[in-house]
Amino acid sequence: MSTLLQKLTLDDWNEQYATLHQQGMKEPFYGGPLCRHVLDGDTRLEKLEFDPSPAALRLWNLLLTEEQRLHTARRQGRHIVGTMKDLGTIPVLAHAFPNILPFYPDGAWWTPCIMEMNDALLHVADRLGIDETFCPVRAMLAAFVTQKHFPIPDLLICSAGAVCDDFSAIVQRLHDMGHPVHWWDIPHRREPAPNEVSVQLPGGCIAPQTQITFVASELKRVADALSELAGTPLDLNQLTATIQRINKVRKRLLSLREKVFLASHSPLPALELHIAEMLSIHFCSDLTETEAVLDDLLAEVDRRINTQQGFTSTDAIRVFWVNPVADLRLMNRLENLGGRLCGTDFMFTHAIDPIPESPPPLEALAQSALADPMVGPTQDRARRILRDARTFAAEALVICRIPGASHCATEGPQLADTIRAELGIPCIEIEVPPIEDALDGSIRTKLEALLETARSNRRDR
Amino acid sequence: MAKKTVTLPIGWRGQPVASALQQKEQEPINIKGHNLTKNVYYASSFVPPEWIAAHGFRPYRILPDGHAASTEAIRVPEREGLCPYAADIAAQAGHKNQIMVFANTCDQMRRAPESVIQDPSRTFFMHIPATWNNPEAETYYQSELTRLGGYLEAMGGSAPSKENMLSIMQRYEAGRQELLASRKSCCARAHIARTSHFYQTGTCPPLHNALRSAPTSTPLMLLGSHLRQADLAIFDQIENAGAHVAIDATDGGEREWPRALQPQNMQTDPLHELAQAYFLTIPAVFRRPNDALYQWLQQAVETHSHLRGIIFVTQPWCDLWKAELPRLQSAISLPILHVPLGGGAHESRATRIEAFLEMIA
Repeated sequence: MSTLLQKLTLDDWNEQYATLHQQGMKEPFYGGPLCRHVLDGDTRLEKLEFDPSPAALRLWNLLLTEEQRLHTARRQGRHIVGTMKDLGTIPVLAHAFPNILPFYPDGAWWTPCIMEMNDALLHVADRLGIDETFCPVRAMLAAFVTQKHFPIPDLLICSAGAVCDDFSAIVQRLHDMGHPVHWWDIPHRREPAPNEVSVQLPGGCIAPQTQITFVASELKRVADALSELAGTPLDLNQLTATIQRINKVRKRLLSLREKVFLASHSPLPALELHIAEMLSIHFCSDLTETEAVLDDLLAEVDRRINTQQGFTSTDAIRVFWVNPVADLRLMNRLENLGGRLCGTDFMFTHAIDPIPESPPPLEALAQSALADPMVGPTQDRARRILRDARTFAAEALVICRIPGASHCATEGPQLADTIRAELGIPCIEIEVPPIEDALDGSIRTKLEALLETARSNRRDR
Repeated sequence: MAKKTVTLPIGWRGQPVASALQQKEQEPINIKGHNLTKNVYYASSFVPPEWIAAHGFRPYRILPDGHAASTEAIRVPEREGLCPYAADIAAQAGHKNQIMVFANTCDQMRRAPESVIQDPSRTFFMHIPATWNNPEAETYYQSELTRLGGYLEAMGGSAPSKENMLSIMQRYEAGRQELLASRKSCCARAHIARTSHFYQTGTCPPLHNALRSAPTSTPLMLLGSHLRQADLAIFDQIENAGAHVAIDATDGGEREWPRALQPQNMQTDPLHELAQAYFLTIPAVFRRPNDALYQWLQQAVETHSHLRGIIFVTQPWCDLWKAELPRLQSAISLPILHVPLGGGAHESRATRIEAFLEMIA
């Protein structure tokens, strides 16, 4: 007999929090009730629905206390490094230096959503000439100006080359505004020529060895910059150990995804799964706590699967989701309309695939960096989505268009055409702004149409 | 009475540049007695035509014209967010039986061709490192040139001899010097047309008397994104308003020419000299950091002290240039007018240019 679990509103969570405390729930140092974050301005939480478990509470608290923890680390004398754009590679390198703490200022792109624009970051970006024709990551530029969020890093490291124009242009502005950036180049991943020495990358793509060698040399330059900041040379043994440790984190995430996507009832809501996946890029500035949070989530998911509990009914439409959502509420919306997540590509699958452990560590990281779905051809990305969509038996595909993002100008139709042709499942592209309320009706209608079509296909089969 | 047909010189005002040039597309380039007849198309300033010609092909730099390209080619569907210049260039890859070299100088140029390529074996993607102040990037650029050479040989080209390479490099260098020398003697529209002709045929057309009138109106710099055929009308609009473009600093304009090739370096290692001249000195907006662009601008403003203002043009959705506007306004002492390209705002654009000139007069 299966049980359908109910998600909680923020008000519900207050009661749940008191109950869990009475039952003896132990929390980490950043723990506390979720409602306190609303007092800090995170008002979007009042519009979201949450997983009721202590494991999910710990996940949310880890996410929403990151800025405080970064400020604390700064006060404790650790060097704060802003890693930018590559989504998963440079933090691995930085974690090999004990006195360096990396984080992604890119994460500020969710601030206008979480704070429901109360912080006016997008208005500040407008005034700096970075208007709505740019991706919402423009909020990051404004956060550097207002200095009310994360601490200004001691060093900024940003990938250039095969990256989004929006991001590259915005970080160039940061550089000019007095925040020096250490740039490193990631080339467009190309198909090896016949007889060219090539290597299979994590995730299955293939790249020429020459590109891997070049990226490894670029990472060496980054390592030199980190060494100068840390005051110690890079210890390759330490980097190898860090890669091994981070691979264990990635394997936890792979396991979590697989369990959630393959379970008959979704044992973790889409919203919490999205947040959990985000941990893989820089561990929310705390690798140890990320390990603990993922362990808790895995235990909770296992328990729910064993007791046949879940948040969606067995007939929920299995949806593969491409690109992160600027407004997190859409993850709730998907489930409320009768869908569930069964496969994701939030633009950083390379940060979830384990890093090779056989090659020398910088070369291994270069392979991981070149496996980034955003640095290669769109067709490579489509093949990965296709493979995962088959594995998780997806019945529909949503391509979430990021407003203004340069890659979204062309990638959507290519991805949709490939998936539609190979799997015959319905696909839609929806553009989601940081606050989707004004488009709520049209987004809801599109999602309803998608799910209805998928349901009809299911009946026909 | 039969109408007399008058052939206007290339670059004469009002004459479509592309139509004047496209008839040249099939004419061979003669290099030391060898006729180069097979075209290799390219659009980026970081693809040296010398290198293509040295492999026995006729380098042909595209001046995109969406209408001309659409007849045979598959085009990228128009969508919000798509740069029309990138779409036009990508359409070239939609032609069958045409060799095309793309350079990944921005995300749109990297991605736009993906959906239209007819025959991947006839398309070469060249990565231009955005970083440039380190030996690894220089070496990588040169290795990309070597890879391009190997590709051209596989497509039926010949391996370049040092003698042939030197001859071609000297020829292109002489052509660029000739264009620069005649720069002040002709109107801007004629200059861009002669430059396009040079990059499509390898020869400088004669400077017709009709084009020689030295401009005496307000001198301006034109700065910003690549121009399409349809955008060249801005040169006429500027002249009609009583000014002229003294420096074409758009992508593809003289700002993106390589430094002068050094005879001694050419003798020692011509490919290395080519790589150095192109990769190390072109102050492109996509370079990270792009400080060299501002150094070039400061130097241009100091050298051309008669400049009165800058017309700053951006293609729709060109993030790389658009983001630079506030920085330009604070870094450059000249007044700047931002003129977005594309769309149907032809008349309002002329009015804005006139108003700008009134303010700076």
